[in-house]
Amino acid sequence: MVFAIKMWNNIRMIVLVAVVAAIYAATLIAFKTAIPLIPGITEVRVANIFPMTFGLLFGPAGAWGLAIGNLIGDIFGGTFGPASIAGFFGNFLLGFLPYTMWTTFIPFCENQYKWNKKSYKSWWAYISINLISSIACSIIIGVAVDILGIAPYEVISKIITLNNFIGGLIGIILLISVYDVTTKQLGLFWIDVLNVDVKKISKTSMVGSWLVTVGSIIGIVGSFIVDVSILNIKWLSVIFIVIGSILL
Amino acid sequence: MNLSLYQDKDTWIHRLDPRTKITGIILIFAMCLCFNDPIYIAILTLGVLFILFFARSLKSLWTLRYILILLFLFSMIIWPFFVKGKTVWLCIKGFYIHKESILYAIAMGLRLSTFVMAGMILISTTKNEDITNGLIMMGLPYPIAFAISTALRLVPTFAGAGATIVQAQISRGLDLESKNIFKRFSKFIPFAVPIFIIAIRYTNLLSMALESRGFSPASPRTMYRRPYMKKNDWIVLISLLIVFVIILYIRIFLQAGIVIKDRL
Amino acid sequence: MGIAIKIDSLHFKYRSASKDSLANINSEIKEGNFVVIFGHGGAGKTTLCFSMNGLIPRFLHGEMKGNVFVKNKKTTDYRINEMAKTVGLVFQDFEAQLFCSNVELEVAFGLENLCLNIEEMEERIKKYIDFVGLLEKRKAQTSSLSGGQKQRLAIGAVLAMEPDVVVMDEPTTDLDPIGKNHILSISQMLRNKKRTLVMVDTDYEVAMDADYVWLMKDGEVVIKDSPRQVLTNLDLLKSCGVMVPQTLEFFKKMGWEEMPLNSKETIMHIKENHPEIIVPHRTLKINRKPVGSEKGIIETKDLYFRYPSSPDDILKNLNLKIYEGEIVAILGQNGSGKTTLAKHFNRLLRPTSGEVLIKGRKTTDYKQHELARIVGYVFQNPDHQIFSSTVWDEVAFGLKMLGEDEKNIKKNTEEAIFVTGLTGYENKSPFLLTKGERQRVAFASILSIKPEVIVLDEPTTGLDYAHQISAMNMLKELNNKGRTIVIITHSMWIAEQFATRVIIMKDGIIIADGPTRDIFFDEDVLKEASLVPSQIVRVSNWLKTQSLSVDELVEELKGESFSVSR
Repeated sequence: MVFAIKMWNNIRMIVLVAVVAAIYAATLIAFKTAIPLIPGITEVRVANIFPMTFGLLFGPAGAWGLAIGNLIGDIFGGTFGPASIAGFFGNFLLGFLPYTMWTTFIPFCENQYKWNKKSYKSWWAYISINLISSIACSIIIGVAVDILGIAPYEVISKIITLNNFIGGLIGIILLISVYDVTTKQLGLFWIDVLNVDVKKISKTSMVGSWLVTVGSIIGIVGSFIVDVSILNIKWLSVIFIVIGSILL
Repeated sequence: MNLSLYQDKDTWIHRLDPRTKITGIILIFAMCLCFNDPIYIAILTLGVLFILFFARSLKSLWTLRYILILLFLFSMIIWPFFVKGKTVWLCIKGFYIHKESILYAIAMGLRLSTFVMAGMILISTTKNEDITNGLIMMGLPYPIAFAISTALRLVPTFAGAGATIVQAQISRGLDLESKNIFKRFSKFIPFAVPIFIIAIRYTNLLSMALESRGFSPASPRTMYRRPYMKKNDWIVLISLLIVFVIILYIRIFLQAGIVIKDRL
Repeated sequence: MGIAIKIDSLHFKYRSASKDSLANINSEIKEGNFVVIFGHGGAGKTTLCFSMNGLIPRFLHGEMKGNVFVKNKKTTDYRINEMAKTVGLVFQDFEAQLFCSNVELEVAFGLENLCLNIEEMEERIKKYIDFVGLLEKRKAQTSSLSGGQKQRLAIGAVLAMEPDVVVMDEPTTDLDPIGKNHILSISQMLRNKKRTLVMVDTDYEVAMDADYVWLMKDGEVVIKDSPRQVLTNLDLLKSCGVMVPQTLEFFKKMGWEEMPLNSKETIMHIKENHPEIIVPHRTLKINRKPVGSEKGIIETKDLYFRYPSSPDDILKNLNLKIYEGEIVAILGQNGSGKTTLAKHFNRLLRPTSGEVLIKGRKTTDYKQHELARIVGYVFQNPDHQIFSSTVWDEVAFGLKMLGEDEKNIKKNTEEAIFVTGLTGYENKSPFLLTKGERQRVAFASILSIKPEVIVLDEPTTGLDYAHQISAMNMLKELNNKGRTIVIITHSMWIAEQFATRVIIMKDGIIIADGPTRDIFFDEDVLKEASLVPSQIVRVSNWLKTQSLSVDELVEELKGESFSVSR
């Protein structure tokens, strides 16, 4: 969480937030109404190829950028409302979890911030974190949308998870294509921009990773069980995700 | 490329302080959450429509008509499956349709449309700068506000670049249409990579231009267009607050305006 | 007069680079001077500009030796935002330096950073918006401005901060002729006000007004002298890869001693010293070879176009036929409809009414991939299409999309890579290449499909002189092999020297269409479209000769009969 706040003192990171937000919003708007699975709330969002790449390359700037980009997508798309706040936090997690869990999601993680396409650890981390962040995002949005009476949790959480996850998988191609030029030629890897030392992984962030994971799993499993009082499971899952994220 | 829904008119709503409008919209959102009886929400919907009419922004609503209709239909179809009432209206092959469920579904459809319309009041009557200026005055740190307003400015630029990229790839034989969800995503790659690279190349340039113009996130700065609250602003805020209090009274003390008890 | 800028044995090497971008630069600029920096692409001009306000080495990291002082401030002692009061920097890319949504707020942005109070801001905003001629646009949305207006706004916003030194890095490169002239008149006004002004430009007509011209090559300043001294040193200019003043080259090749730098001076010298070449009636010595076959390949009939959201027609009743084997140049200001017209040729746009025929068949009757094989369209910015991880994959992409078999893909890709001079680059990542190389990759990726017609939107923008020539020669070569070429361009000399036919557009109408020589002879029609022929063609027009380039003119005047294929 530290870097997500510290980054606001760095001009390059601030501009990255704006650029990431603008790419995300522009593609959200341009490809809106392609196939409106659930109109206005979720479509087949091809833009969801981007989040993993943004998160891993730009760290906190990716997270804030996705959050703001989604908000702007709502504003330009005319669907700005209370659900936009949930969209903001959900999409923030979509960028936040990849870079925070990348080194802390033991044992499914890398021991350094870089993506290495030749290392099985990188692939393993990418896929598992993609799954967790997809679910965590869908739970936050799903719960809020359900309370507001926009759509039921059981429906929305599954759709968002699926869309995010598949987008993230195809997103590996994007990451591989742009990784070298972004980190080496343009020098925009967040570790370099913020001059972060690779330090020992703290226990709290490891606990955070697993809290988010456990929260996500019970949340998505809960959406399949009709009989149990879903209300409680949902909230339990949200609490896990929120506390876990703060620890990260 | 002009994507903005802002309507460049000069009505009293346009002239309100952005802080008034932001607070006002939040109050309206909150009012919508007080009821789940369609009749009560319909009254709110009418009220919001009136405001849009005064803001001369019904036109931008018209551009969203399909989305609104779809939202409404979606709500109508999906909610009866998930929210159960007491009074049975119909029974089709073991599946009960309750009166309350249907009413709730209508109410939710209306509520969702009202959210969109209320959001529209803010978007179509307030310039981007004014929204961010308003947020700064309400305590949002300047770097964040700057990132938001820069992003708002860049969206049309990137959308334009995106349109060109699509054309460039079509010229080389790429066919974007596909029903399969995996293929859809894959065909998006020849679009996603160039827009990513173009935008990211921009980042360093933009940051340099920004610093060269004397910007620094931590330094203090003055504000050229500082909004200030006028009489109208206070009238609007106070009347909305009064309405909100009345609504809370109806909901909490009169227990009216609800068809499903345990939901908002 | 004091010293505004002092550069002391400056060296700079970018972090990832293998050689120095700046090497041993020692210079001084006096207060009130106007210095123009010249040089080939990659000579270090931009890097030098960036060193003047501390972006180098504070923002772009690398190894720096030596010092830069601006008004006695050592750039490395101050943060970049603190230097903003001393040095104002205007960038080439006008989009990247505007941050606000309307004109006055843009100017206010820098002033807010300086913490001025509202009254002061008000005063300066008015003064500088007026100075750059945007007073009427004060409340206008930035996005509604033309490229030239955006650049003027960027300049105004920098000037409003009242820096001691103004540095402009190629402010006119991305602009059309009208936009360019506006910027030049602003720099003229600044010059009259005795502002210290440093400007990078590629156009020697700009350099004429400077106190000093610096010529850069491979990171070094090879000469610093008055414009006349630098610009008349033809051998040096050539060795630095910079375009040589045409009129000067003309006189030199004629064996005349005078050194005219523009058409006006040329005509004056001819009148005074070489009146023998002025003849009242000139007999044609050119044998015009017929160009293009009788076979039309692209035809538009009563073509109208407008965007669904807009009430205005962008193309109005265009009737046009392009024949196989032509090189057609389409000229006109931005917004005249050139690109819109060209995008109809491969159905990126569909006519609102009327029709476009390709080989006699309506574009709307073709499948998109069939059209892709006949008409190839190369976009202005190569970055709008490059996405593959190797050059080979990028060039082969179109063929794969069109479902060619492996053998053909290999053969055509190899050929396209060879023709564009990219052999050896096959496995490199296209993103890591230079702009000129990326442009060739984009071009190769269209070429591999072997379309019969190749449409190019501004193929030479952003390339330096040497690359422009090689790109155009490559097109000429393809044309000799039977391809039809359509170029959209702002560059007069490219149209003059390479096109066989010129079409001039204005406000969605074709106002002139004919053989290149005829079109460029009619300066009134050109003027109507706000176009001015190059210096040498103006001389040629005045002499009533047929030539369109220096070499042709020399040959023609020396009386040798020669033939031109246009």
